Amino acid sequence: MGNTIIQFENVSKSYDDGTVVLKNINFELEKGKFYTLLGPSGCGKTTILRIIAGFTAPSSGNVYFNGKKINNVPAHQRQVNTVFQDYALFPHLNVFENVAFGLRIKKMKEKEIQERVREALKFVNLEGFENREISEMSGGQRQRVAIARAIVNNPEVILLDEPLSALDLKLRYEMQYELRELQQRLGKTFVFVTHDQEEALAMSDEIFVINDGQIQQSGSPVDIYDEPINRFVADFIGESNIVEGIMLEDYKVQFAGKVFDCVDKGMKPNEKVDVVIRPEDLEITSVDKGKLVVTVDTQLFRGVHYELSTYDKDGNEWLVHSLKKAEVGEEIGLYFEPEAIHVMRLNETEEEFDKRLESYGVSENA
Amino acid sequence: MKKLSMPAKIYLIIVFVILYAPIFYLIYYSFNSGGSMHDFESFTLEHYRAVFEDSRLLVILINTVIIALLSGLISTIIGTLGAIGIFSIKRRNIRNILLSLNNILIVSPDVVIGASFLILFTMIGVKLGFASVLISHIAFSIPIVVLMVLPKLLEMNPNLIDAAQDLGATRRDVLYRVIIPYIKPGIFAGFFMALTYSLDDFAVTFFVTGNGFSTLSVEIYSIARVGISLTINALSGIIFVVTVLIVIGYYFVTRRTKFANGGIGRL
Amino acid sequence: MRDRVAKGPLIPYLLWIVFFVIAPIALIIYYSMLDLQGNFTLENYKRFFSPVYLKMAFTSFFYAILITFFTLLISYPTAYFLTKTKHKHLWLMFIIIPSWINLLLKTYAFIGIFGLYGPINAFISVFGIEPKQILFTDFSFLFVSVYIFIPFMIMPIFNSIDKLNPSLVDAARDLGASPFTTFRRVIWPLTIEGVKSGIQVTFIPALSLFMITRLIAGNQVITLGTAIEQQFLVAQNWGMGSTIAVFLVLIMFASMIFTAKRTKGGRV
Repeated sequence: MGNTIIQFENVSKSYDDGTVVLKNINFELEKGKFYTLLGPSGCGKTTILRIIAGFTAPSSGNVYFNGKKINNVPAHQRQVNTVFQDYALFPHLNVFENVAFGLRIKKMKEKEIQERVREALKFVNLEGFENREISEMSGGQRQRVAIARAIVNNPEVILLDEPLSALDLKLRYEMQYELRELQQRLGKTFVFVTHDQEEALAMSDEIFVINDGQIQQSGSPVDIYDEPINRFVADFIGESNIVEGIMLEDYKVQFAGKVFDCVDKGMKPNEKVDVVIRPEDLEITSVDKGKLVVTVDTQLFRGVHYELSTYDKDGNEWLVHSLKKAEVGEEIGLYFEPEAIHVMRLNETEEEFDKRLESYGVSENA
Repeated sequence: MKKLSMPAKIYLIIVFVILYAPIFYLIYYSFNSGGSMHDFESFTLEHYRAVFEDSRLLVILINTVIIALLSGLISTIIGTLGAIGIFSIKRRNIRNILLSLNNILIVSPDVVIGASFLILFTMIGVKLGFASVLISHIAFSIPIVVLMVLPKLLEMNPNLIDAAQDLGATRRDVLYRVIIPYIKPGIFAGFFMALTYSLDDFAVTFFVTGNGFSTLSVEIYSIARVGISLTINALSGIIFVVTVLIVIGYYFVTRRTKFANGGIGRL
Repeated sequence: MRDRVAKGPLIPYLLWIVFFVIAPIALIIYYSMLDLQGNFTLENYKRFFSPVYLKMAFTSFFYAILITFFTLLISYPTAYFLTKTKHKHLWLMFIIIPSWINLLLKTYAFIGIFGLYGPINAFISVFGIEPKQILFTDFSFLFVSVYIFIPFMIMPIFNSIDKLNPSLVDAARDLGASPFTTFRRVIWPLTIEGVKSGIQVTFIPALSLFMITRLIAGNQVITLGTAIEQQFLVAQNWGMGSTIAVFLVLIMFASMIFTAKRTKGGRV
């Protein structure tokens, strides 16, 4: 417990008009880690951020900061700083004054302000930009100013609300590295909100996948990618082939009209399940060697690999990432290991899911 | 962008000529040594000298400017605070009611404003004169200040307020360090509009001014009802030059802030 | 979210609304129901609906519509061409400057221009036409009024045309619309808000003009405004004056509803 910095306890949020944004959210965030709240727009992730920052009050439930309840602490008294999606830099102040804003509010001595602002700007590689106007800065530079403005106050937690979404692709990749590195240098807790699963997988220590006001699954990027809890998570994180299947008995699952060996167990006999196979786990082979036989519908070259859209006889679509090329219209076989099959029970809670996975012993070997 | 066609140019030129003709006509005859606005006799500056020698006219001129500056200042303060207040109201319908009430004085005919203020002042016992004129000018300038300031507030990124609070700013800090600096161009525009409203007003002042007090508009009216005086022409020459200077100055000041929000006119 | 800033600033503003918006309207309504002795009566309203007043109200309306129509007719093309000029905001400034010259001065100028010995008469006498009194006619009244209102009409129309995305016009042309169809189906509907506010700032004041009627139209034209001034300041019959004012206020509310915008938030 000593390491916990923020805790949500049964937090719900609904508005006067009856819309429910958050349903009974519980989590603990530890000091010094990089957390990502991942989900589609409107899922409630930004609301969680705003509750931590103090811009929004929860309708019920409690929020703790360092063990103290902070439901009624106003935003300006919280040791939390935010990097806004649109940066929210003050257009009437220059770079220096933007970064100095929080320190001036605290009535810090001019000399110390100078020192700390310079240090913060150095931290984000913006030395020498002190006297620039905000309008003269590029998107990536504004981003850094916004980060400097947050870290200069030395907060315990830094909140980042989709800060990379306004940047172009190349810059976004660079900033992913920089943010991750910055977080490690500072050793502060980062809470990062995004709808981009790649960003989440690349940067986080831990991801919370959120949908419809609820946490669907939490865990390390690898856990979430390899063992999605349900159809939503599987579909949202990475690309997936998801088909309906039946768990005949332990280690035997039926889908696409065939029975396959798998590594999952502990379900009721003949239980209906969803089956996930990642496109990169499917391997192109000859028709007779293939576990599945499919026809190639389209093929796109993606740089590192080919992306094939194929259909089996039942009309299920199978997406394949392959280094090998195929011909459109050709019939091919698809091979996969039993470990590549991931079976998801319908409506399983995260707790039940974790328990089931534990019972497999070491099953993560993707 | 397409270039203007010849007929379009001619059309614009005609409009400009018509708009400026009466003003230049006035100024032209202000140099006429003959006493009328026809038959130019010879060039003279005597009417300009007359303006500066007519102490009654000078007092009226000073009164007009004082009323304009004071009412501009006070209405800008009240109007700016009002705009911030309206902005801070979350309930949409209350906000809309306030805005509708705000706009009433803008669309109200001047005669009605003048008449109703006359009744009001008589009832509560404000003596007609400087005070009643000043109060009236403040009253009819407030809504236009609100209309100049409010769009600036609405265009402000609401995250700026969150960001300021996030950085430790109290409500007071937010107001003085973020909101007011941000809406400054709107406040200046409001003040400027209030000034012109006050300087230009005739009808309201005509109703609420007593015997002893007069502003320029009222004075010109009473002179014009009697006939023509070239002192008035000279005065309009002076006013025109001052106006043009102020307007050009204003244009260059506001062009930097890209304030292209045409005001709402009133007579 | 809690309130964004404190409500304190609103207090003087609310006081202003109570004393200078609500109270005056209430007083006007109250006075409209008083006779010269201060007794409660509906006699004023009865008088207002007598032929004399109705005819006056009708003429006033008629002139206001004419003034608004001609002002719009001249202002719309002006605003449209202005948006196409190179330094459009500078040119707009030049259009607005005359509106900053005191209204009385401009009106006063027309006393000279339209006078018996004024330049207009001098001009037509070149063609052998006898000089005649143009001043104190309904033509001079219309002309001066339109002249006064043009800048106020141009401003909102200019702003709405200026906001119009030029790609929309290109798109319409691209889709085969003629210049006239483009105007009718795209430009006009998208700038109608500007036209509406232009009409609002012209029509109501045009109904209530009294200074121009006195100075330029002699007493040839009597508007609702002239009548109010007459009742309040000459006849000292505040009751009757208030009754006419009540009708002006009603028309004003009607015009506010007419020009009410359906836009969401944003510009006021």
